[in-house]
Amino acid sequence: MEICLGICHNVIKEKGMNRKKLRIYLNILLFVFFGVLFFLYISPLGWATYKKDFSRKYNNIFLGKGAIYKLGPVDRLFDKNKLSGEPAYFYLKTNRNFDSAKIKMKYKISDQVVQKNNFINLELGVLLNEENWNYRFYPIYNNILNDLYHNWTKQVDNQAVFLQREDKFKGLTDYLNNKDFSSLLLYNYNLNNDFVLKDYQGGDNYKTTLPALRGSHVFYTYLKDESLKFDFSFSNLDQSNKNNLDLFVYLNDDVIFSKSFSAEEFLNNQIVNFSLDLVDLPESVYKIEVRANDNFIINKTDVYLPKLVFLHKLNLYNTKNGFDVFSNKNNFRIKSLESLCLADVNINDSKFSVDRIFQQFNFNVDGRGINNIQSDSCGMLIENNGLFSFSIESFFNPLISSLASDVSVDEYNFVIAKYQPPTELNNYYISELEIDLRGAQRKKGEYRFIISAPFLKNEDNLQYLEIKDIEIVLSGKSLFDKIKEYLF
Amino acid sequence: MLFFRKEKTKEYLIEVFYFFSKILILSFVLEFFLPGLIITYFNLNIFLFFWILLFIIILGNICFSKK
Repeated sequence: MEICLGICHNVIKEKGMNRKKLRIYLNILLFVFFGVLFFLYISPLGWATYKKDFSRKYNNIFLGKGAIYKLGPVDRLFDKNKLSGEPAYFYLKTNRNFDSAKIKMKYKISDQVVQKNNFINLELGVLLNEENWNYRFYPIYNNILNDLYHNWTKQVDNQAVFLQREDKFKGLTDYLNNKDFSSLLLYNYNLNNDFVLKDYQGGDNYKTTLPALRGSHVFYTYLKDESLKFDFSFSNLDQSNKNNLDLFVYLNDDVIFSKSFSAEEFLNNQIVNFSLDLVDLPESVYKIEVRANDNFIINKTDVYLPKLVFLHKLNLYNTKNGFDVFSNKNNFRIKSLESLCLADVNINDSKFSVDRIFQQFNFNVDGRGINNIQSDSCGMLIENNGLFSFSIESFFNPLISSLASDVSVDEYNFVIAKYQPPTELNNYYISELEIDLRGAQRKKGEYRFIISAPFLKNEDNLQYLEIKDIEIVLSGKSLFDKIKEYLF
Repeated sequence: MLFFRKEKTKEYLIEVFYFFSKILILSFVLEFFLPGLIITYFNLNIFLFFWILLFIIILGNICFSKK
């Protein structure tokens, strides 16, 4: 204590000052720390950038989780960032809504995938609605288009790329004026096609009855100076089924008529008859959709128009004399839902056996053009990527073909695509895409993304897609814009 | 002089300990009300580790220091 004498007062004073100073510095540090985090949290300038290197466990040196996370599911993932199955998902945590995102993805497709697949199509989607698993997809990589971009004549027009096998047209506008889309392939591009059926003769006094169909169906019909007339007869197999049956009529993707039948209308096994009769419609293709679950049966449909094709599927129910249908595709996924209906199926001249219920059989035939599918079965679910009809005379194709795995590019001369091929760097591909986030679902602050890679079949660890890193630049309204919007 | 230096260090350590306590409490409260604010960028276990380390050092200093 003697040491303290004389100088102790000053030492204590000095010590108190230093402590106070340190406390001030630390409080400033605390304020800056939370200030920076809060700034990042509210993104007042209206943009934010997030980056995730999936080959590393943590996002930064502070071991933060990062805003992009949960690449998975784990059973389709190995070595942290290699996907062997699909679809895969990842999440983006944001504190507020954004309008758009620029995504830069660095990835590698394994050599085995390239060797074993003729068609490699990789897409990224953002979730719009969780209830019906609705995603908005954007293309990342397509091997066919990558080749065509190098080998065909390429013209960029209004964000779309127009590719020609031979240099026939000056540009996309010139080609669209031509109106012949029979050898056109579309990829990620919506073309408003005013389809006209040349030499169409109306169906005066025409009437045919379709066999019973189960569940949802979409079909196209064509009319000119006649009414859109169908007589439907619906029934409900399960009285505990509380869902509605909905009917929609579309012209150029716009709903022009809709009607909903509630479950109450089907009580006591009641059959509901409905006559659809729309008059004074312009000459065009019309899409009709019956949206219902598999408990609903379309018992009978009286058709008064000669042209009628079904999109992608026919779920035939209780067909007494078997069925005889036609399709423009040569690959079929066929399933029997009842043991009594197991039977052989003849596709053109080839015979195939459907001998197990609920099992999907995949059949391919060599035939091009219209293929005939015939069976004595009492009902089957037949699906493919094309169109179906009940007679060869009623078949017509109002759709423009899209680039898909079952499409041979050799049969086409033109492609319209909204697609940016990836760049290559150190054995990795880098793709950049711009995503519209308006209407995307943001649940608990998370946007959900899907990676669709149908070439990954979870067979072995040699066939994989490696996601190296993802950078997302989000943009939306700034805080200033929001305040302005609130005040004025 | 050694006594003062040690005392000074202890005082500084206590200040830093207070700082970590404040940052931890504030982080937990803010993370609760504004989810993702902290854990996106920081792993709170790092702070917790330093907090415990300081706690042990300070406690040891108090218990085993010469009176």
